[in-house]
Amino acid sequence: MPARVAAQPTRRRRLLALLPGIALLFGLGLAGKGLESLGHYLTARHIYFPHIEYVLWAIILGLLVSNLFTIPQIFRPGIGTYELWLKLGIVLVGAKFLFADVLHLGGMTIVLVFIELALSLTVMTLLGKLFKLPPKLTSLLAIGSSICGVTAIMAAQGAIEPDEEDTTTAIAAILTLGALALFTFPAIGHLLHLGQQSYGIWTGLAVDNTAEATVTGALYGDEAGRFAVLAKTARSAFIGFVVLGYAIYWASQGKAAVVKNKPLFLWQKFPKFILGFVAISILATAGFFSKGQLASLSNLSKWAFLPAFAGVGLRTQLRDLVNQGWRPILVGVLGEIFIALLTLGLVFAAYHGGAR
Amino acid sequence: MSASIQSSIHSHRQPAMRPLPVKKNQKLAFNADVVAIVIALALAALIRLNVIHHIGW
Repeated sequence: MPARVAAQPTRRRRLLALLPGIALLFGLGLAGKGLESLGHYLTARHIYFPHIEYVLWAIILGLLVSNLFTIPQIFRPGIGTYELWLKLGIVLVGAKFLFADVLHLGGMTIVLVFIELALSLTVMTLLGKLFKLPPKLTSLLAIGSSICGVTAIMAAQGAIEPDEEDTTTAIAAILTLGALALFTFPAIGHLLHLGQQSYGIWTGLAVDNTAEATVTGALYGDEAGRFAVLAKTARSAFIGFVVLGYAIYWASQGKAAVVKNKPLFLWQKFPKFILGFVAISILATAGFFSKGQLASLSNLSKWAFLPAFAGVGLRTQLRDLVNQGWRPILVGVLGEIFIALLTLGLVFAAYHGGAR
Repeated sequence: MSASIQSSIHSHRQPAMRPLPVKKNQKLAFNADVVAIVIALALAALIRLNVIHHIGW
């Protein structure tokens, strides 16, 4: 009992320690939204101001803060909560999808995910061998680029027991590629005149990290952002199966522990926030909310994404991205180009030439 | 950025990889999935019960 009493202030202190970083995330996000509004105001009065959406402003502000200044330690715990706001936004986006649409689009997306997974895992493994990367680093890059970036790599870390250096290298490579996607995907989408749905599904299938996939989708439009979330969510659902496959392989090589309880392993690796997304979608489909309430939930998801977008900028250290060994990055870039082209082809085939 | 990565590719000729200074994600003291679902359902309930009338953008 006394131990429990002693633990309470510690927990409270840990929660209080989150507040400065959360304030920074929301502050930068709100500033980004404010700059977008300022742009509209000034443009209407024929005063030049860069026409940039709030999503990009939030990322730019985050990048400027984290790359021009040393962020004081007091902000760091709270900055880590960007993951919570991202997941909250994704769960709330469920209100914009009728469950039948989730099943239909999710079903279609799952077929595309299967093809993407099989081919990208194969190609990344071949590239890793070609460039003589350490085998476990190749596994981590393959898992990270085919499923869901850093989350998948962290999930695989405990299962295939790589060196700490391999994990760090794989995470750095995946973050670098995610940062590149933020700037290249919207440009390619506009160049090819992709529709909101096609572009969103494409980014959800091709961009690795959930945060970067959501941002890359939202940079093209709100609707594209929602479809990116849907496709990324379907892809993330496979994380347990892929990590389990690699865990079994490395255990068979005598280089990782044997997975004894496979169903429990799958459940532990399954991203639970997907269940929240489905629950909100079912409630919306069942008519639980009025039209106005659905609009409020949709707006709420945008407010939740705002600090997450700022967090993407804050955690990207441009200096670190270029300070890496060249081979993992080259393997990652080649693999990602392949995945981007493959998924673009799949989207063109599945969604009427990408026009929708 | 791609230009700087290009220059990095050319300038890093050593075959061995070195430890990277990239920071790992800050570990949260709670399960973000569970907390996200709880907050989302709580907010949805408050909106459904008209405790929160309208959220604009």
